[in-house]
Amino acid sequence: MTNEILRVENVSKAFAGVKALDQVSLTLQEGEILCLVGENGSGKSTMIKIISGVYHPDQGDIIINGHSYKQLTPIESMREGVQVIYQDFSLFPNLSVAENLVINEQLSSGRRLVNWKETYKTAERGLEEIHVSIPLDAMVSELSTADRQLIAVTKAILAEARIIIMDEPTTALTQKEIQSLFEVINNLKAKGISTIFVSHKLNEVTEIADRTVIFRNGRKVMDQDAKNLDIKTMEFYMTGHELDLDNSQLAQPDQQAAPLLEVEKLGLRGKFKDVSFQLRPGEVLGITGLLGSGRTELALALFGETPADSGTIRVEGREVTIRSIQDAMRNRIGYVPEDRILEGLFLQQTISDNIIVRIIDQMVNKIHLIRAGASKKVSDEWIGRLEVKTPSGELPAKSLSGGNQQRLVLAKWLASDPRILILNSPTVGVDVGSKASIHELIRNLASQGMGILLISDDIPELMQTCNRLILMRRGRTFGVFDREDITEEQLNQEMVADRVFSI
Amino acid sequence: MNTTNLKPKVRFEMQTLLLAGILVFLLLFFGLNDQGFLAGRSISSMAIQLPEIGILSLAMMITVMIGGINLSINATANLAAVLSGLFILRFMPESQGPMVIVAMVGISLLIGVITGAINGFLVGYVGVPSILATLATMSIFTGIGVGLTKGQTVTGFPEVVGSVASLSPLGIPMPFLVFVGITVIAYILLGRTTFGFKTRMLGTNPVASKFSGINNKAVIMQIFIFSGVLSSIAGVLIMSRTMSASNAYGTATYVMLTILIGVLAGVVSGKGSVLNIFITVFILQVISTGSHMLLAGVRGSSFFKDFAWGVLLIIIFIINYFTHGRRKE
Repeated sequence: MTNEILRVENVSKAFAGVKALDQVSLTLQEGEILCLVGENGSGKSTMIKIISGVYHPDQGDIIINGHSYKQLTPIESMREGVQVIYQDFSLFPNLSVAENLVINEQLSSGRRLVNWKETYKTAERGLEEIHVSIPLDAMVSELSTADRQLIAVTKAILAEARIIIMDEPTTALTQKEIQSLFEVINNLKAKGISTIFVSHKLNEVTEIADRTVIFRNGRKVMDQDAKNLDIKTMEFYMTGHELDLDNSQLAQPDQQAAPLLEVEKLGLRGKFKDVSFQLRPGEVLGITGLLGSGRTELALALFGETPADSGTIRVEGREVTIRSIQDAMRNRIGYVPEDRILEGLFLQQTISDNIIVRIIDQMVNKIHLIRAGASKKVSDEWIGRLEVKTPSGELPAKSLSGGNQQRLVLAKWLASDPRILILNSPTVGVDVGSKASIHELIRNLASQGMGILLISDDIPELMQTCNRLILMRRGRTFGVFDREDITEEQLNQEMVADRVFSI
Repeated sequence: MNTTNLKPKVRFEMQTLLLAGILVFLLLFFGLNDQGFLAGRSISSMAIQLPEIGILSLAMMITVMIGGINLSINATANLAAVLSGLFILRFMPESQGPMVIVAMVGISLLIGVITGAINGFLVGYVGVPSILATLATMSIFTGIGVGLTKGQTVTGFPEVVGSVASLSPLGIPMPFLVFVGITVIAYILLGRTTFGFKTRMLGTNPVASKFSGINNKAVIMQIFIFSGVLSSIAGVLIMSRTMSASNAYGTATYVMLTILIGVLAGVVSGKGSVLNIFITVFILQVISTGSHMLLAGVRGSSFFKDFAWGVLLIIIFIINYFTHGRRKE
């Protein structure tokens, strides 16, 4: 297979003076699986949009099937067989599977009447191409994310795609679904269809890629056969420096210090029961378990959002009642939620307003007006401390990349000076570089005497940051482990054992 | 890339400039076409009519800013007028003293607080969507007024009731001063206090504001009480100008008009400008008065203002579309 289907030559693109892509070249062979890797903001999405005709490059050429373009329109791109599957799949949730599959053809054929028989036939043929079966009458809104994705792939195939671009396709998939997606991609390869797989999950990249291209800050920094490429090398190219994954520097909390938080036989009907643990100053306590194990519910109970209905909570030795978020805050408990977009940020408001929202009540003068300039001072300080990458705190929060948004949520809570910080899956959807720096931040906070509850199902993350781990199963604490006493494999087995157990 | 749209806060200023431009244009247009337009009499008639709708628009705006709506603003205004009117007729029909004004304003504000608290309770604590809650309370408030007045217009107030609308200290009509004063207060409350800050945050993302420790229920309650109080002040102005109180005054037309003004002024969840409301109210009043004078004597001329308002709305949408709407990808 040496037929070159796509060649991008010396393409540059700038937005408002910021170079998103700088003299980047790229080739794609027929039937090749190319993984495009890079941190948020490295230029991956811009490259996709240039290939699909959404953006016009400032410089450079795009050659598809031997046809050279200076500026490609979306229609031309599609005609050349380029199909992009975005993260939201662009499907019609209230139409059936068959309708979704055939709608493009239906529209372009210009027929005014729907030929149902043919619709079903075409839809069926499409699904057969990738060897999957999904009921054709099902509403797309009722399907799982994985099935929707397969529909989107099938749709691309029915549109006679030669190049399928998948933008972060595995974000919402389970391990099993990811495997079947990979099978589909390999099927496509066998048919001579090329795939550009955009991801920052490096273990998936090593599994699926024929060739890997890495972008950093708008430049291509690596382009090589995937065979002999290991994760460490990729991380090095992505971030530009060796990641510090050494966990020996984990500070040990003072075992003599009085516990910051003591939870005893805490329970919430139908969610969790008999949960007891202690958290010392300077300690990072991991809480893990599968979805539905009660880990998030426990966190929300401690934060007062869905208060516990039995058991006791003591903060710094004092018994407290936490019936509301306000109660939790009075006890200086902070909570960084799982979903930063939905629960953490005010995307349309400025970065600065997002940082001061927790402490706005302290920023007023004698007649209760907000002190002019106070917010800028505080927010600039936190932008600096957490290295949030932005030209100005007056830009809306939505202008930030994922990792920076997560730092912003952290900044919001840190500004309020909590004693106990609950972090719920703080690095989901965050790129490798940001992830490492968030881990470092967590360790630093702990070493300054904060007590941290880290809820996560990312085992390497837990092993790198936590002093102790609590494993939850079906609403109960199943085990408490010192990090020294357990390995990643053992922890993994414990979690998987739960899966078997609960079925 | 996530960093493509680096345009900080232009939208807000653009909208204000656009509205100001339209206002200047309209003033010039009507001023040049009708000699009487910029004369004192029509200006002062505008300055008396415009505050009522202006204050109601503010009452609407703040509820839209938290992602809600308040359909009961006009019903609240009328109920405040009817109840304070009935009180005056019953207990001080002959009095001309300042106590009449005190009673009128005091009772109205009290009604504003109570009706607002009912809305706030339903929306914030019970969790009824504001469009349904205020639709229901709109009917209830109107119903109470109709029951007490048997559907009649309440009239025969002591002369002094009219003084609020008729006084013009320094040659500026009192209602206009009230409107300016309330605009300034609303500007400070929304722009410079924690209440305003929380209002914006709640409107932008209620879940995140809850998780940031903002007491959403309390903010919603405060917003609706504020909205009710503003409505009741509009009620006082209407009562004083018309020397009557009626449940049929304004009704749906006024509510729709305040929504129109909010849209023109660019009010959305989490964002709203008091200044834009002020200018927009002016624009609508200028169109109304101007077209009335220009077309005086033409049959059906009174409908022209509705036509012009509709056209204006579309023009602003088109301008917004071309200036920033198309950035969406």
